Amino acid sequence: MLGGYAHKLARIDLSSGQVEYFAPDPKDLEMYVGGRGLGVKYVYENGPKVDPLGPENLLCIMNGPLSGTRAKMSGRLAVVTKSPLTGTVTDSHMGGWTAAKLKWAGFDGLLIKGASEKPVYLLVKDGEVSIHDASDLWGKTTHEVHRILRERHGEEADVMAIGPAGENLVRFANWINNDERAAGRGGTGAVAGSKRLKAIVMVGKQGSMPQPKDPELWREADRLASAAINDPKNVTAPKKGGLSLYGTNVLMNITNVMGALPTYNAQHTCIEGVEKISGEYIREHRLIQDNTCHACPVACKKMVEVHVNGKTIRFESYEYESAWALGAHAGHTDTDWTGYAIYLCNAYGMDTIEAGNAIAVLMEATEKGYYQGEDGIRFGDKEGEARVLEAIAFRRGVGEMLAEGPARFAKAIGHPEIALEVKGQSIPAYDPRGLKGMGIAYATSNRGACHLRAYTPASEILGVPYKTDPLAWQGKGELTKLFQDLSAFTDSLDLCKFSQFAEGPEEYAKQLAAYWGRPVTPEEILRIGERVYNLERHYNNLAGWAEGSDYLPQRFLQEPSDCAGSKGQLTELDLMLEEYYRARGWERGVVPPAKLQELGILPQAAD
Amino acid sequence: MPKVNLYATFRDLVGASQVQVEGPTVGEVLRNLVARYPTLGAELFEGEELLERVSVFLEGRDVRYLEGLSTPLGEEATLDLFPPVAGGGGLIRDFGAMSPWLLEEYLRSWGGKKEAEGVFRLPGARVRFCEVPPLRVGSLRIPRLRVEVEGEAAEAWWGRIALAASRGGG
Repeated sequence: MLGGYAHKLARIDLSSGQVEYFAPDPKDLEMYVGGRGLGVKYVYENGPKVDPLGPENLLCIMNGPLSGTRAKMSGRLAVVTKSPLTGTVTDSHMGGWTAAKLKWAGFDGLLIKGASEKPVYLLVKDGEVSIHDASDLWGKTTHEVHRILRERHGEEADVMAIGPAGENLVRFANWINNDERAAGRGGTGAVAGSKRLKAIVMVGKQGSMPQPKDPELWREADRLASAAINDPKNVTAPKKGGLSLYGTNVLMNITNVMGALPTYNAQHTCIEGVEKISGEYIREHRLIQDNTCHACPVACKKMVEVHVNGKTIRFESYEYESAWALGAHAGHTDTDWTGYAIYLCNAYGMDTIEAGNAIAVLMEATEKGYYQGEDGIRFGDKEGEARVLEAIAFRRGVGEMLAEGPARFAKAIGHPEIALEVKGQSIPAYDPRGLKGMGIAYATSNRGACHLRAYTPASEILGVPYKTDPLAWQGKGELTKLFQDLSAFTDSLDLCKFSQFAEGPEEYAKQLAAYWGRPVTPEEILRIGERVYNLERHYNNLAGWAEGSDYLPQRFLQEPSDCAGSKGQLTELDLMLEEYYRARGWERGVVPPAKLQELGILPQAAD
Repeated sequence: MPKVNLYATFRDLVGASQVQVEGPTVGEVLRNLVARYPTLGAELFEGEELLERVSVFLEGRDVRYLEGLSTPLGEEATLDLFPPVAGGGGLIRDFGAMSPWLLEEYLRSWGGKKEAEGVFRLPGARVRFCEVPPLRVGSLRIPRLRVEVEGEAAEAWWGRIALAASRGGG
C-alpha cells in the first residue's frame, strides 16, 4: 500500500444527505498521485457534459500524499470541478493549513455531489463527515463565517467558506479559508453555492501526520529539499530571498519596466506611479506581518493594513495579481483603495483577478460608450470600483451582468473584443506582448487564461531554469509544455508553486519515493504531469473545447504594445502554437487516441 | 582593455581561455578578435550580424538583452563568449536557481568522481561548473550556475542534468 495517504475519501450526496466512504484505487494513485491529478480523474469519470451549476456536477476537495507531512511547502489544497466560468475542468489551490487538517481528519479528499434544499456546512472530523444546517450562516461574508464556525468548533478547526458571491452564483466566486487564502480561480465557489454548501470545517490534530514508508530516504530527501529552499542565495531563502521579503508582489515594478504589465484593460502595457502598489512599497509602508502556511519557511504572505474613508482595514494578502487586477488594470495605483478592493473580494468570496477584469471591462465599455447605464464607471474611479464589486457580489444593477463574467458581459453589450479572455477566463497580470511565453501559456491553459499552468516568466524574467528573451517567440512552445507538465505534477502532490524556484524533479521524486515506499524517477514525475495535462485536455475536448479553442484576445494580436521594454510588439501566437502542438503530439488542440493510449488514459487498442 | 573569456570549441580555435581585445563596443571587440583569429569569423558572424546560436555575455547578461553589438564596454569589461549550447564539442548553459552544492549532490548520486573544484568525471563525460554573477531583476537576485559537459557521452549526461535542473516557479 502506497504511503502518505489516509486511503479514505468521502462521497457526499447533498441531495439525499448520504455520506459513503471508499479507498482510492491504488492504480489511480500511481497514475494521478492526488490533489489536482486525482481530482481531475474523478471529474472526468463524472462526465464532461454536466451542467457546472447543476446538482450532477462533482466538487472535489483534495489533498496529496505529502499534505499534512513535514515536507516543505506542502500546505496546498486543490478544489477541482467543472467550471461555471469556462465549461472546462478547473482546479484552484489554497494555502494555509486546510489541506493538512483534511489529512489529519482522516481524508485524502471529499467528493461532493447533489444539492441541498437548505444551506448546509460539512464537519470533517475523526474520519467522518457530517452535514449541518447553515441557515444562520447564509448571507454572511467569508470572514464572519470563519469566526462563527471557529467559535463553534474550536480555534483548532480550519474553515473554508464561500461568501455572498458564491451564494449568488457569481461565476467567478471562490473559496476563502480562515487564513484568508483563496482557491481563487474558475468559480469553484459558485459550484458550492449551487449546492447550498456554505462551508467546510476540518478538525484534525498533528498527531495524525502520515509517516514516510522509507524513513532513511525521507531524511535524505528532506535534507536536500530544505537546504535548497533555505539556501541564502535562493529567492525562497527565509527573510533574505526576494520572494520571502516581498511575496509575489516583488514583480510589480519589474513587469512595469518591461512593458509587460497590462493596464487600462490592456490598452497600455505600463502605468505611472506603479511603485505605490508594489511589494517593496507595501513592505515599507503597510506591512503588519509576514504570514506563512503549513510546513513553509518562506512566509510569502503579507498581512497589511490600509486606510479608507477614515477606517483601518487589516487583511491578507497584498498579492501581485490582486494588486494589478484591482489597481493598475483599473487605471489607478492607489495603495489603500487597491487594498480595500482586495479585502472586499475576499469578504464576498470572489476571484480578485476575474473581478478586476470585470471592473476594467466595464470601465473601457463606459469610456467608449458601449455601456451607457448610470452605474458605468471610468478608469481610475476607485470609489466606483468598490461600489461595483459589491454590486457584482449581490447581482445588483450592472453587477447582474458582470457576475456572469467579463467575457459574457462584453459579448452581451456587443463588444466581445474588449474582454481579455481565453475559454471564458480572464488574463492575469502579464501582458503577452512583453512576455511572449505567456501568450502560448494563456492560449493552451486547460482552465482558461492562467499564469500558473506554465509560468514562463520564470525563464523570461528570472532565468529559471535558463534565460530566454521575453520578446522572442522561439522555443516558448516547448518551454510551456515543460512547465505545464512539471506544474501538473506539483499541483498533484500538492506543493506550492514557489517550491519550484528551489526544487526540481530530483527533489520531488525523492520525497514522493520516501512516502510511497517505492522508487520514483524524475522522468516518472514529468510523465505523471504529462498524463494529467492530457487528461484535462481530453475532458475539455469532450466538453466542447475542440479545434480552434487555443486562442488569444485580438488586442494582443493586433494592437501593438505602447510602453518601453516591449514597444511595438504583438504576440506571435500561430508560430508558437505550431511549435507547442508538435511538442505535445496534439492535432490542433485535440489529443489523439494514440496519445491517450500511450499515457495509459485509454486502454491500448487490441491488435 | 576589455577581456574576452572563451569556452569549449572557441577555446580550441584561439588556443587560450582568455584574451585581451581593444574596442569601445561589443561589436568592435568581436571584430578585432576575428581580425586576430580569422577562423572565428564564420563561427561568430553571418554578414554583419552575430549568429543566433552564439551567446555573448557581459557581466553575466546576454548582450542581446542589452544593446546587442552596440553595447558599450568599459576598459575593465569582461565578455564571456560561448559556442552553441548543443552540438559541436561541448554543451553549456547557465542554470538559474541552481547551486554548486546541489549539482555536486546530483553528480555524486549518479556515480560522479570529483577531480577538482567544479570538475567532475562521469562515465564518458567531464562536467565543469562555476557560479556566475546572479541575475539581478528589481529586488530579486537569482543565483546562476554555468555548467559545461564534454566527452563522448556528453549528450546523455546533458539530458540528465537539464532534467534535474528543471524548475518552473509560479
